[in-house]
Amino acid sequence: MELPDVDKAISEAPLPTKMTLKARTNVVFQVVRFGIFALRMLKMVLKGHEE
Amino acid sequence: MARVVVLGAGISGHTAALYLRKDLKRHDEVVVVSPNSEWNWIPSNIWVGVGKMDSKEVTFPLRPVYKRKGIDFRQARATVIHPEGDLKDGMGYVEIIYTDPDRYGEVEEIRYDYLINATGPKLNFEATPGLGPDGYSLSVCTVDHAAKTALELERVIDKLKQGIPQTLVIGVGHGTCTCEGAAFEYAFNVEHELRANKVRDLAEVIYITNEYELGDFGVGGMQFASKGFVTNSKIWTESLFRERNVKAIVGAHVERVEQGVLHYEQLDGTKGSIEFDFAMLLPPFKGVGLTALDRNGDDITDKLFAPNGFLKVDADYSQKSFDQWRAEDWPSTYQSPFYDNLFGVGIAFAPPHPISMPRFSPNGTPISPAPPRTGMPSGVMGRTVAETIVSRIETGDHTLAHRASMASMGAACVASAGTGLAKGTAAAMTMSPVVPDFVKYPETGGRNIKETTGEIGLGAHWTKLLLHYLFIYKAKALPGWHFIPE
Repeated sequence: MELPDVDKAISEAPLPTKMTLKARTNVVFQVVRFGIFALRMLKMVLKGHEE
Repeated sequence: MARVVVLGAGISGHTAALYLRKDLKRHDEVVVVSPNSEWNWIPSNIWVGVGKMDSKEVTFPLRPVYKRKGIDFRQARATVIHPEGDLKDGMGYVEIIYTDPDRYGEVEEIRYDYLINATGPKLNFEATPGLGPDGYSLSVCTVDHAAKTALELERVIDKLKQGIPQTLVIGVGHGTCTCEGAAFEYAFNVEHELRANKVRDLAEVIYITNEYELGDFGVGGMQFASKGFVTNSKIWTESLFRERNVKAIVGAHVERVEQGVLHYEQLDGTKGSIEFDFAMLLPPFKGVGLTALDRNGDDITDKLFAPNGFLKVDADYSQKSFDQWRAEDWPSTYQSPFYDNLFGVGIAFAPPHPISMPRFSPNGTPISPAPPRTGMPSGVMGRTVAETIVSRIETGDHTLAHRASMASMGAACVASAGTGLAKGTAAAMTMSPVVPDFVKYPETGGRNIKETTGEIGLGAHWTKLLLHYLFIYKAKALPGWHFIPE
């Protein structure tokens, strides 16, 4: 079985821009993302019990 | 009066025991059998393994919690299940051997009306010669392993500070391992620590995995929508590897580990070796070695358990090729097909097949992830089976069953990539369902694209921290614990 060239794939992977890196550590922006993710998780967990 | 026995006090077993106690009448008994006296929030062992948390922050003693809640705790290891009882009494029972220092080695039989097997896995370091803390590599699977690993990491960082280059290999130590997410997490936490200690330039960090490509995580990868495009976990993960300059070896089976060197085989048949100064390699899992006897004393272990030692439940275990796999193959009640009062949850149940596509090297070596069934799904299974048992005891109707299939439930996975309230980062993912349903979602890798998401950032780290405190609070059964969902 042939394997993908992982070194090439990594070297060609998209690099985050400075703005993306800043957004990842910006407290205000991250508070919002944190809230959204928490709600998403809650919805998912509740759905998991519905079956 | 009914007695429910739970084997194991990990996420699944402990969750089941707490809900059973909450919902059953006081005269019903809940008995927990676990060889360990402490509960461990295993996802945070990653932070113990980089020296950012103390062992006591991720564990607590079970006995006081069970005493307060009225749960009968036996610190012991289950050895034999007798689902039909014996010739004198048709009530099922389980043999246990005490690990409690006060009763060490004492053997006991516990009769049960319902039995939940939630023993978790045996860490199968023996599968790879030289693997594990008794060999030449490290682990973060238990809190003691993680604490030892943190000391070794400290030693490596000291050497780097002296200007001595170091090679750190992190990943999975066998072609059939699971928990690639945990290995990924540990790799990026270590990388974060190296940067925090300003020694990153002299260190080479290599991630070795049985995944065919990065971002598989044992769930066949994920597709999700991001900034107006449908992208996938492969590109997303590769981006993180590029950003952090972490090297990767994919499709690899570690054949053996020796002092300072590991040898591996890859899916294309090539073989290689890496010399290392530090190696944290997770082991494969297998069942804990429970056996089963019928009422005549004849061995029925092979009937109840799959060859890997996990308990067969209501899954479709017929041999199928990858393109024939269906969501319906996965269990939803976790009840044994042979005994309606026997259940297997968490890692202890036998999955019908992997989630990632099975692959073999030209030598026939299986190199592909086993399916993960830890964390959120484990808790959901524990609660679901507890609800089934409560319903049956209350109504006397043994056909009632609550259901929660991994092919319909979602899960969140938060992979820490560095700690710190202001400087931490993590990759947070949600996926729904855990097991892809290619019939329902043919265009998006078998998952609901609206509920399958991924993001990297400080907020994701806070989520991981929140889960740490919430789940330890819940596991301690402190006031309002049951309002915290699994």
